[in-house]
Order: sequence, then C-alpha cells, then structure tokens
Amino acid sequence: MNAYAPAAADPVIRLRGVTKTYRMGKDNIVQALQGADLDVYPGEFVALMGPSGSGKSTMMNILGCLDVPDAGTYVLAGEQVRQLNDDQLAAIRNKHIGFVFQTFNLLPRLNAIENVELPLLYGGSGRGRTQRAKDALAAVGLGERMHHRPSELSGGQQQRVAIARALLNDPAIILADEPTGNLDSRSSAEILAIFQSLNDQGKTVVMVTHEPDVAEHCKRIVRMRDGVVSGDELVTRPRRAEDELRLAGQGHSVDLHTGPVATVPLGAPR
Amino acid sequence: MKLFDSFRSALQSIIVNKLRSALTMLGVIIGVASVIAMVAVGNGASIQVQQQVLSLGSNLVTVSPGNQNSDTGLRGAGAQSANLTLDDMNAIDAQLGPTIEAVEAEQSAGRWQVTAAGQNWNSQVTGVTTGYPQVRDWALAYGDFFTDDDVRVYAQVAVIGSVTAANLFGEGVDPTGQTIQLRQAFGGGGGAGGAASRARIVNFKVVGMLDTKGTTFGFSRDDQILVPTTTAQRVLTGKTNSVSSIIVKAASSDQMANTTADVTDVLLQRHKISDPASADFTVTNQNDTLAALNQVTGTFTILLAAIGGISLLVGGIGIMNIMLVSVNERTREIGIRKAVGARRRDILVQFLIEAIGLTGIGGVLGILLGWGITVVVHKIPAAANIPIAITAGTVAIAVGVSVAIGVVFGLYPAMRAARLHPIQALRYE
Repeated sequence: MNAYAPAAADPVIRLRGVTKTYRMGKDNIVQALQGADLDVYPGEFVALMGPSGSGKSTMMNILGCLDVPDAGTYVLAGEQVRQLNDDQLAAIRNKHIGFVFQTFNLLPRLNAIENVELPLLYGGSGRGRTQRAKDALAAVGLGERMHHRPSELSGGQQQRVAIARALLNDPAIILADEPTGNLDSRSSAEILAIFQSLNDQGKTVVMVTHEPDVAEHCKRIVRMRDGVVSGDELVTRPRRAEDELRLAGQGHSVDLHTGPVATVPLGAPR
Repeated sequence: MKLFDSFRSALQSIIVNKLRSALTMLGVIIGVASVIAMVAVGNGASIQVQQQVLSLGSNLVTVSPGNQNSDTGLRGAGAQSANLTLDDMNAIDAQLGPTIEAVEAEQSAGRWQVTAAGQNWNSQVTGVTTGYPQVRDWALAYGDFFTDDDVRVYAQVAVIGSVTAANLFGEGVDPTGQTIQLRQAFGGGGGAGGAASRARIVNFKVVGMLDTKGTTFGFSRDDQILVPTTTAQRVLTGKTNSVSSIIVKAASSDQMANTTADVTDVLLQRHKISDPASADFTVTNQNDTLAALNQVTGTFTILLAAIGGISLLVGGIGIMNIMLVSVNERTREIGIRKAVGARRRDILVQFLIEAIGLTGIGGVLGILLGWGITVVVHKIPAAANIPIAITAGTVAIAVGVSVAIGVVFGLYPAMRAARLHPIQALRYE
C-alpha cells in the first residue's frame, strides 16, 4: 500500500473510512471528513497538504485524539481509538502523542521550564521533573532562556518550547499543525531541522502545512481535498533544513525555495 | 495531577489576579468576620448574663409570696402578700436542714438616708438572716456578720456594702464599730422635702463590711445596708413577721429540682394547702431562670449568626461568579492542558482547589478581621464588660463553612471547565 513501508511493519496510524461532521450553528453542517483513509508507518515524516476546508486540521485532531471520528476506524498503535473513553484519550495524548501547534499554545503565565513540565503534571513520574524539562529545552537548543515567559521569547523560541513540551514524555508520534505558519524563514528552517533530527532518531512525524517548500522537507506528501485523501507522493530526496541553514550562514536569511524537488506518486488513490 | 501541583497552580492563579482575588475574597472575609464577631458578641453577652445571675449566689431556690402563676390574688413585685414568714424559713431550715446548704429570709426596708461621721448618703436597706453570706457566696472584708442572737433580739446592728462604706467613711477604711444613723421622712411630701421633725431616725452599729462584688444588670450591689430581718420588720418597716423572700441554697446544681420540690412540700404543709396550683407562694429555681435567659441570649446569638451567614452566602455567590468568569477566560488554557493529557478530573480538581483556596484564605483573613472587630467592640466602654468569646469551635466552623462554600460554589464552574471539549477550548478566542 505504501511504497515507503517496510513490508514487516504494521502501520502506527491506520484510518479507514473516517467521517466527521461538525454542526456550526443551526443549519450549517460541515462535513469535514467524508471517508478518509490513511496509513502511517513507524519512522515516516509525512506532510499533510490541502486547501482550506479540505479537512486536514480535522484529520490532525482525530490523529491526535483531541477528537473522535463519527464513523470509520482509527487504529493507533494497534488500539481502536473509538472505543476509548475521555480519560484514556487523555492518557494517549499525554504519553504517545506530542502535539505542536501553529500558535504554539503555551501558557502565558508559566516560564519555559514550567510550560515544558506540563505533560509530567498529568502523567509520568514527578521525580526530576525540572531536570527533564531543562534537558528537553537544551535538546531543542533553548538552554539559555529557560526562565523566560512566552511573551519574552521570539516565535521560533516559543515553538521550540512547544516542541520540548511535546517531546517530554518521549512519544512515538509527533503531530504538528502548521508549526512554521507563524514563523519567519530562518526560524522555520530551524524548526524543520529539529523535526528532521527527531525523525532521524526514529520518531514518526505528521505535519500539516500550506507551503510546498516546507512539505519538501518531508519524506512523503499526502494531499487532501473535500474530506478525503486525494494524493499521496513520496519525496525522493527531501531537503535538509540544516544544510540550508549552513549555506545561509549565521545571521542571514534562509532561502527555503531553492527549486522544485522531485516527487513520485504513490500507487492509485485509495 | 499531584495535589501539591494543584495547590501550587491554584495559588499562582490567585496571585496573578491579585485585585480580582482580593475583591472576591472580600465577600468571604466580611461574611466570616461577621459570623465570628457576632457569635463572639452573642456568646459573650450570654456568658455575662450567666455570670451576673450566678453572682447573686449559685444554686438558689427562691420563695416569694403570692401565686405568680395564677390569675387571681396578688401579683407582681409591688403587691406583697404577708403570708411568708420567718417561721416558714425556720421550718425549711429544720425539716430540710441536712439536704440543703443554707437558707435565709429577706425583708426589703426600702431606701434610707444614712449619715455617719458627718457624711450623708442614700442607700438600700434590707433585712436578712444569718444565712446570707453563705447563700449569696459573699464573704466579709471587715468584721463579722451579725449572729442568730442579734436576729432574735432585734439588735440594731448592720453590715454595709463597700460602696456605702467608702461614701460614709472613705475608701479602704474599716467601718466596724462605727455608728450610722438611718433616717426616713414619712407622711406627705417625703424625701428631702419632708420636715426633719417628721422623720423616723434609727441608729445602727456597723459590725462588718462586705467584699466588693461590682454591678449586676447595671446596679451596684455594693451600695446596700444589711440589718437583721427582725429589726427590719420591727423597727424599720413595721411589717411584723412577714418576709419578702426566702432563699434556699441547694446542696448542688443537680439537687435543685429536688430542693424545689421539698421546699414546696414543706410550705404547702405549713400553709395547709392541698392543691399545689392554689399555693399562696411561688418557688423559683435559678436553673430555670438561667435556662430562660440562655434561651433568650441563644436566640439572639443565632439571629446574629444568621445575619453573618447571609453575608457568607453572598460571598459564596461572588466566588461562583468569579470562577465562572475565570473558566471562560481560561478556556484556551484548559484546552492546552487537555491537549497535553489532563483528564477531566485534573481540570475539575484544579478549579475546585482554586475556589477553595479563595474561600480558605478569605476564611482565615475573616477570622482575623472578626477577632479584630471583637477587640474593637471590647474597647467601647458600654461593651467593655462583655467577655470576648471566640472559641475554637467558632473558628473551626467558620473555616469549615468557608471551605464548604468553596466546594459548593466552585463545583459548578469547575465542572463546566472539566467538560470542555479540547478542540473547542483550543479554538476559543
């Protein structure tokens, strides 16, 4: 089914015929997902693209267990998500999935360390919490400004805090909803470099993006339209954000758009 | 989520919104303070009333003439029937002697002009028997009380109160051995306007002075002159043999009901009355008086506490209001917390602890304020005698109630917060 997939591995994410309908107000019914299918295998780096209203954000929310499908099946690491209750979903969000948002979603009154510690408040051991948060911040290159509040950090720095928070419980899957949408090109490249390095370490990453340049850093591009998956391509040679950063040098702007990257369509649309 | 983290996070959010938290707490502070202060004043008044009643002597059973429970016959203080006598007292003493502690009979002789050592004073004169110091728990500062012999021979001897003594002989002077002259004008006009020649004048020898007792219900109990009942009857009032009250001191508080019944039996027998309902005397039990007074002050205290309770309720509604606003305002925060794995229970506990924190801190501050108010009230001269009665019980109840208010009024907002859908909460602007 997926050219990338090693034959032996089971998909870590499997969506089959997933539908989701929102009722916005009295007569406005939005069919956000209309039978979407998707398989994501361990170690993949997937870009989810599509125009506004194509259902990619709804897909992300369902993948992240922030929402449950109306119909269809979602199997996450072998578990049927529709059968889980609220607390079990919360536990999955806490332990198995790291979520990164476009608007960072940090708590404004807490400093970087306290923000990163948050998942540990709701699960995992309380021992060495602060040290683990510091380590995570150091890992995303934010060892210096750990005691600052979000309002005292740049967008790129805030997103690093958010990534550190997502990583704290060592989840297998990172879900990122337009993580570079609010960032300049240099910060975007830095964030992408972090994601690529995480993917290199074996984490599965799914990222929603509008920008083709950003998507070309992924190993696979899934396109959505009208609530279904409409295209699936393998990126033959993903760009490396760290190379781009090195080329641009310190203090200079990074040009993410260095020309088209070859992609190969994946099988027939499902 | 660990409880400690919940507390820390709640405290942080209380501190961040300092002004709002303070204003919200104010409702609880005022409520708790008014409960504390009002109950303290109420309890204090109750204790004071009790002390004053007991300062008249403890475990007393009082017999007064006339049936004050019946609709016929003589009633009230002004209408004294003459059917209670010194012999009745002697009979009670003889028949109940071992079972009671003491008994005495009193005959009020009205107010008299007193002169001694060139000083002039006006004092209440009462005829009493030798049981008086024991019945009234009242020792002498100087000299001795008059004896049964004095009573028997209508001796013109007197024991005077400390205020009377101070006015006649000066502060701290032993008045025993001195002679005082009682003078009462009679006939038309009376008092100072009456002609001196138409006054009754009697000399008494002071044999003792009572300890200082202070005031009871606003009256000084130390301005009085005690003389033998017989002398008061014969020489001062002319009411031969009759007394205005017989006062029995029961052996203990537990024995008062028995003593009351015994005294009633003795007098019914002596007065040859078979039906207790038509008795020509009334027996009053001090316990009953205390109980009645306590009921009055208790009602008073409950009323005051209710007023405080209402302000506490209003404060609680204020807490609920602010918590609802706070949940609304922090919808996004709730979404973020849920996105990183907070369960419903975690959110519920967080907001509940925040509400309890507000009311708990408010409760503690309220107790301090209430205590302060009580101290200030105590500084007002008119209330200076009211003891401050903040008990551990009151404080415990106040804290308990304010925490309970936090739970009750914090629960609904906290449940609203816990039920929020993570996506809708995250999208909330």
